[in-house]
Amino acid sequence: MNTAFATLYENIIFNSDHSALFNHLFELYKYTDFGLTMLIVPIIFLVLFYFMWRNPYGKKWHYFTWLLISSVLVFGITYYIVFIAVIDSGDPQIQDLLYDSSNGFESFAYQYFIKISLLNSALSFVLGFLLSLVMKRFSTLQTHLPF
Amino acid sequence: MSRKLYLFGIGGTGSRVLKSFIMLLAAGCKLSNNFDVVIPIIIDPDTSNGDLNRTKDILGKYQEIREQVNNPDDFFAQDLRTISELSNQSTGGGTDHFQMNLNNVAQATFGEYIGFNSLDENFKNASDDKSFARLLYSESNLKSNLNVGFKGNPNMGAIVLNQLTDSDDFKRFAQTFNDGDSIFIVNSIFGGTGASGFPLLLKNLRGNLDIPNAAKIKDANIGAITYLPYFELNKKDEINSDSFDDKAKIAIDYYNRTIIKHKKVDTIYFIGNRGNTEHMEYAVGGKDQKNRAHFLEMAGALAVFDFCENINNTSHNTVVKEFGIENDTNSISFSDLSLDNKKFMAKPLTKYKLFAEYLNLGLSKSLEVSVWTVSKFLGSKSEKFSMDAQYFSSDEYKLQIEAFNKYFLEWLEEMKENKPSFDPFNKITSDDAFKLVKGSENVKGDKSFKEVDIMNAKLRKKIEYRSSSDQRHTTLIKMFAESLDHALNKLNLLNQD
Repeated sequence: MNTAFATLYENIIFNSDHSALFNHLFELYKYTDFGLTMLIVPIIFLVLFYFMWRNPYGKKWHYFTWLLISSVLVFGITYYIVFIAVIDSGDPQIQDLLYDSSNGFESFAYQYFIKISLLNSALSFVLGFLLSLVMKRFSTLQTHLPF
Repeated sequence: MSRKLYLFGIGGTGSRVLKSFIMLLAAGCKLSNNFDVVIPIIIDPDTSNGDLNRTKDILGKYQEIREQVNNPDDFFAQDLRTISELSNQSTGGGTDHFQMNLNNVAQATFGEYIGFNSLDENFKNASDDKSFARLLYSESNLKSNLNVGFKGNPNMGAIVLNQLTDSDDFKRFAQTFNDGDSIFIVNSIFGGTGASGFPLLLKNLRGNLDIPNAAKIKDANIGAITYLPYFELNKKDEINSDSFDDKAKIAIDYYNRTIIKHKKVDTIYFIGNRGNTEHMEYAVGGKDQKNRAHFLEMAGALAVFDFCENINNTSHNTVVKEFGIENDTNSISFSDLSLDNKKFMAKPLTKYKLFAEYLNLGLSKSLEVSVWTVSKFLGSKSEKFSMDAQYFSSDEYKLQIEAFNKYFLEWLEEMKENKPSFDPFNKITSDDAFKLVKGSENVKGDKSFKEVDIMNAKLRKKIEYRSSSDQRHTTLIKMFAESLDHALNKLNLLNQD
């Protein structure tokens, strides 16, 4: 699973100059965490929206707000995961790279945190949207949303 | 065995009681003992009477709505037919067929009707019929136009209504009468049409052997409700409400001697009210006679249900019943009714009131928002006859459901404004709809229409609730009956006091 997710994420964001970062995340199975976050959070949110939310007056803006909150949460969780995995890493190689300001690793890492979080958030948004097309069919109250 | 109930409403009171009866049927009250079909028959020469025409319009709308519902089993469950429909075995026929036509009363004065001018007045050879007629009828009686009724004069009614059995409508009624069918008659004792029409009708039903199915009709179960005075008029003129009591006493004595003692009816109900009556707007008849609905008319309508329920409880004598309430009050709510009456009508009335109020107050919030009001959406089959904006702006909805509900709410409002006031409901908004019933203000839970919309969303896919091109109200009527039932039970709304 880690390999599959790694392929997905590294195909979009990868920099061979800082491959140590990507190897580090791979070895810690962080791509699995990213992937599961991207999957589980929108699923939970959509289950809540389609099956638990007892509001018969749900409108499109409710749906998109819900999906947006889900994506923001994915962003936050991903950022936290990657931040802890890199900054709080006990790996001496990563620590050395972070403390050596000449190699640009630290700057790249912080940019990467944002990028991977945004990517995961966007992926979860798209996935959530696709999932909702399936889930809405089984919903009683929100079966007409998003359209 | 399927049975029919022929419900005769005589005069203005007859029409108004019929109206209350129809409202109870619309709300889901049903006749017991297999009375599947009700045939309302209005007898009133006053063809332009406001009460009569309003009742006929309501009857017509009830039929129109019911025809657009597949297998109604709650709201509008009871089948209503006209004599015409039964005899032709066809549907439709128009609201005029609820009224039994009387011959030669359209533009005639009473004098013309009895041929007063052609009577001899030569007293010398003892053939002075004119003077004899003058002993029985005043000048004002003779000049009175029959198309506004008998203006409270039963002596006129007794002559004119005696031709009832000659009418084609009466013959059709008799032709359609079968074993097991029953008859119920509504009349007032203090007016003209009702007071005279009741004994005449009964005489023909029980004793006229020239009518079709005479033997079946003669032995049929017949019930009646007779109204004693229950309102007064705000003006004393041709009709004087001061005479209501005296007329009632004389008529009761006559009924006792000729009807009750001879068991011409199986059950007779008496209902009236003294002391805190309302002064109605004076009108001798015609379109101006449009009295506000009265609690006693609804109470009288309950007699019809009681009659059918007890149809098998035979007695050697006429059973005489009176209507009463538990608490003597000027403002009657459900808790002031007897337990049986409360049990019978509190829930149906509350449900239908909520239904009508929902469509007035709650629909705007859910229309095109709640899933049951959305017709087409991606990934689902479009439902051709859904409850969408197109349905709620259709002629069928506006001219039938909306118009009937307007009558229903008007009926409740009029009973509230009358004396004694029937006022079981609070004024509501869409956010506190389930505070509707007085005494239920502290009901726990969400009081808005939300629960109804949730249930509607769940029920909308039930196959038996699906509308079709020729039964467009099926979904609305059947779905709301169940969703409101669910909401009322969930909130335990009718058991708060």
